[in-house]
Amino acid sequence: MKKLVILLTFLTSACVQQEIVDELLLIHATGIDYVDELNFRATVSVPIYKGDNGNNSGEGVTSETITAVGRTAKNIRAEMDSKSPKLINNSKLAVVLFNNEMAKKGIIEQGDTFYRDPLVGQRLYLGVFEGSTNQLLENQPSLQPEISKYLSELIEQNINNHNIPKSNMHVFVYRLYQEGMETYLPYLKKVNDQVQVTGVAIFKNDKMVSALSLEESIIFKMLIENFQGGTYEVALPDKEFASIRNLSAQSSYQVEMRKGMPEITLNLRTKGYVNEYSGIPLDQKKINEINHLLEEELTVEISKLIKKFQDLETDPVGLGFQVKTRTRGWDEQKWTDQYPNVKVHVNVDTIITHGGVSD
Amino acid sequence: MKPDNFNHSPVTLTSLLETLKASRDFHLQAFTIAGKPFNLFYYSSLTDQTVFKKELLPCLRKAENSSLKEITEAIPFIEALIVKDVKKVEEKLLTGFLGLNLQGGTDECLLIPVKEQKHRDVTVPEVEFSVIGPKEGFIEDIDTNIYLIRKRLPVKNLINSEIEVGSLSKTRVAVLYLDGIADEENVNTIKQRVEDIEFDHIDDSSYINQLIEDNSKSPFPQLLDTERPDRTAASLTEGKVAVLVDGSPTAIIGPTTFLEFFSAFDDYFSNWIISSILRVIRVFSVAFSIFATAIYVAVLTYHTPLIPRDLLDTLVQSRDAIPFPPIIEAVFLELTIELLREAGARLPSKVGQTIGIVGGIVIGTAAVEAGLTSNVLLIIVALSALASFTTPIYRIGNTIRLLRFPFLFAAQLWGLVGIFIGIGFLLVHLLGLTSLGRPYLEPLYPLRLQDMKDSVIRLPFSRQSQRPVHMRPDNPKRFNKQQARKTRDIDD
Amino acid sequence: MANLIPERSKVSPFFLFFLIPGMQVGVGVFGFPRYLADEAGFDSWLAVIITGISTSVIIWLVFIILKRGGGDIIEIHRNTFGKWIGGFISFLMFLYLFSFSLVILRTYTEVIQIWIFPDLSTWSITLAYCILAYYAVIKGFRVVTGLSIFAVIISFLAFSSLIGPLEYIEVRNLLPLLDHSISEYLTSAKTMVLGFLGVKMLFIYYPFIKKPDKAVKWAIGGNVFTLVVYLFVVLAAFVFYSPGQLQKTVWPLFTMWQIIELPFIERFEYLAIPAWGAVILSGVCLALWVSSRGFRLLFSFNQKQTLIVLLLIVFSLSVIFQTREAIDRMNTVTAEIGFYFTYIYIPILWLIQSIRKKGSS
Repeated sequence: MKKLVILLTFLTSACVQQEIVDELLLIHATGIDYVDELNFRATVSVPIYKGDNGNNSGEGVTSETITAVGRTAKNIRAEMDSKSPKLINNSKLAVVLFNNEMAKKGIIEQGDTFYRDPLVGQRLYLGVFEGSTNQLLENQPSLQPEISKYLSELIEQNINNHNIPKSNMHVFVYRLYQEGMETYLPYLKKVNDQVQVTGVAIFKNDKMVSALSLEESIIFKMLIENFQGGTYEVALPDKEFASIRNLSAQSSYQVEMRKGMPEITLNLRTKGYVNEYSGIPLDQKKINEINHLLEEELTVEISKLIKKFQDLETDPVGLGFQVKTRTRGWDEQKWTDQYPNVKVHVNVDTIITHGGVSD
Repeated sequence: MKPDNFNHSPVTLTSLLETLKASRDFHLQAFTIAGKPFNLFYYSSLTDQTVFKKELLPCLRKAENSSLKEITEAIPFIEALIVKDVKKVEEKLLTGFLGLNLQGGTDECLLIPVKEQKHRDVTVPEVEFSVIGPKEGFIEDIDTNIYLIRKRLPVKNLINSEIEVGSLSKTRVAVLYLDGIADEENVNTIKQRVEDIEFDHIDDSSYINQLIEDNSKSPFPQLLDTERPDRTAASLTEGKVAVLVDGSPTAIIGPTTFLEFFSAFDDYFSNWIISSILRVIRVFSVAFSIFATAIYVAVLTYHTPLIPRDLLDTLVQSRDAIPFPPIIEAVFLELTIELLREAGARLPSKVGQTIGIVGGIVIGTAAVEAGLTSNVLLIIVALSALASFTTPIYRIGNTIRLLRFPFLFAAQLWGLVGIFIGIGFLLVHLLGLTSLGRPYLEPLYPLRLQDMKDSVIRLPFSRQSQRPVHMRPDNPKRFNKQQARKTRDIDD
Repeated sequence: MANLIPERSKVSPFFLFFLIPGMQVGVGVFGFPRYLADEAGFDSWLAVIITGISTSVIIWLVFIILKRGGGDIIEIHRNTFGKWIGGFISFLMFLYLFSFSLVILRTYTEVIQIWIFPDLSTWSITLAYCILAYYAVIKGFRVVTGLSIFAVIISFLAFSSLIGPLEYIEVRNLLPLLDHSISEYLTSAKTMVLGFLGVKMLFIYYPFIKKPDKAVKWAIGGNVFTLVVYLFVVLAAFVFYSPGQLQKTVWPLFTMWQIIELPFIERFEYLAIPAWGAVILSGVCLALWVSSRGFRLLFSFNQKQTLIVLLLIVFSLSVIFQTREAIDRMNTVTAEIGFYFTYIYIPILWLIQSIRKKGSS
């Protein structure tokens, strides 16, 4: 009897709060909008299940939003809790979008909240959205009634297609805190009532300074990661064009010190084949020509892009990181001062393997 | 107070016969041999009347001499014996002997064995049935069982030492082992433990099994029980000790290991690759059976982050209409399954099957449709019930089904943390278990790579040249490994 | 004393390969890349090697000391320092070994409280582990050894999962190599000591090893295993994180696990942290077994009752240490004492022993 009493008291006081999966309000997407100097508005999108006992799973999931305005994440959380019929839970958060005003103001505070929350995974997609994220999350796209799934699939798809470089919470935080490197996020916009990824938002520290177009994004991607399976379109004279498929890119850097000033050589090797060509015929000569044009175009574009970054005084390519890892006793401050004037040589080496299957 | 009638035994033959006459099936009649009056007494229920009338009586009638010794020589029963001790007479009469005593003479009796031999024929083993391989199973008669083993092991080293156990049942318990192969320590341990048994009535080998186990507080069986003579014989050759009990169609084999409970004897009949895969499947299915429901409860109650997003939709939708927390749902379904199994086991086999199917389908579908359980859980519970029946040894299957419940409650208390604390207890318990003083988890712990050849996997017979180290066999070599054949090159 | 141990309680020398890492790979591994990087930055993986190798030397010394002294540390202390001082040093050593069980258990329960169940009461989970530890330790040394095998297997599986974040690594993080001063490496190496403790437990369980003279290679092998595991973890963390990010991350190992995504499991660390319970159980049980055994030999106590008293102490202290800071300090103090005990005291003991031996011959 005594043992039983002890056991019962143990069981009652040892219990932890249950979070049964169907009694939670699982946040799938969050949008953060700029309100004024002090406050921001958070909109969370939660799924609403209309299925009858799982017989038509996958269908019947729509989303609903809860909005709160506040100064800190804590304030907002409290307001949301008061508006929610169920326990709010962050563990299934897939996408967090900042509106561009917010991003320009700096997002370190909010980003840190998500990074520190053990419930939030590292594969969370962060992104910048041009416009009100509140409105975005409130409407339901026709292709996929659940907006968060739509957004995360959209970003994932663009990364897999090599339109934009790899991105998720880990990559964002990694680059944010890496010395000699700046971070970036996917940039989304609503064009003709359709949300799309239009490029990459470039940051200086935690503040967005510019947005790259899709064309610039793929060039940017070539500079910062090795990949295979991309596509690139080359414009040829006489309004012709050729599309390069299965493009692989591999970049490497060389650093030389000249009078205390680093000089960087960028070597890019790309490989691919011509898949579409508007002119006819496509012979070896033409392929060589395309190859040459591609090399030239890439060299110019890359130089332009780097110049752009230098003018913005931001270093998302991580040239500083390349210098740092090749120098003993690297001084970050000194590099920041030098950066806008650092000389960057670009060497592009392309190989076009064949002219597609049709020849 | 009444005098202790029970343990009191008559001192003289006359008083013994008086006592025994109280039973209706005890016969005492006068009989004349060579002109002298004899008492003939026996239990009609214990003696074979045909033998008695057709073989014994004519001989007795023809007997020319009246001394017991000469009668013994005249009758065709070698086991007949002359006994003076009244107690011994009592004992023998009760095991089917027939007594003959000169009227008015001494207490000296001639005891003639006319035992009734009633037992069923050797049939196919029911629990450990195998599709291929021998189809003999043990029966209730110990002599037949010993015969079945001796037939497979016609060597003089097969020793059978018999011990009588049970103050009332006087059950014959045979300890069998191969002298020169089995470790003497094992043999002595088992003999000692059987001799030490203090119990009045032994009905089955499982009584002995429970009475001689190392740790009777453990739900895990620490001695293997089998109804297959082939398995018993094979175990004997590995250096194990077998115990047969009169009146029981199962033999006990020890020392055993945990993994042995997952090896079916069929495994030795098919190709080693196939049987190894089957054994691995069995181990996994047992793990699934124990943990699946508990993990369901843990994950759904506490660990939402673990569930992949796409799976989550399915899970939430299947649980949407259910008013109970996962634990109630799970316990309800688990109990239903146990109920079905128990009902199926008690009912005659044909009805049992019907109940199983009807109960399974009807109750399951109805429960889901009524919104009492989710269909995902129904699948899990049904699968884990099925998985628990893959164990070839029936008793461990029961253990596994029982183990599910503590894990279920641990999962409810602390989710996966609770489950892993439960695993901790299980692990410590298994690590501490022994079978006849030998570690139960061998060859996992203590790690013996040599014995891995026949554990979770089974290597081909050519690799099984050594007996398991675990048994510490006196003679570790099974066969002389052939001289390694010269590896042939292509097309030689 | 060694003669009294029954043969069936002994284990083969091979198991030292598990016993040594079973104690070492405890809870320190969750956070150590961060502490390590504090001093020598991303060069500090070198510190792991320094500590690992020096610990191997210490193990070798321990074996020499024990072999000379007949395998009984209490006797060795008594002969070296006299009855009272020797006994006192033995007492301090057992007390120190005992403190491991507290450090490991409390740190682990804190991890559970922060990562999985924020509202879990300390006393209940501690009580559950104490009962489990009691259940294991009363079954004797063989069971404790068995637990260490499972601990090593589980930790090995957990660490091999770090191949998962492979797609995010940046090997250039480790460059430039050797960009720090020697003193920075040494301070770093000192932080690493907590991960290599538990060598002194050899003093107690040495008589439980069959053929102890052949055991030294297994003990060092086990230590090298720990070294390799730590090196792997620390390198994985350094190529995965940027320096600033690592400073922001309380438990680098968990955050690395967070990025692993399997078809059935979206968040690996929610599985790995509970499973880690088996790893710490081995450490807790070893510490409790060793200290209760030590006190039994020293004071002729009943080991079972000693164990109960020790568990009560672990339980009440666990409940008292509630804040992160207190737990952190507890870890640091243990590491500090461990450093002096292992890397200073043992060589001194060896030296004294050697001088005496020379003197006597």
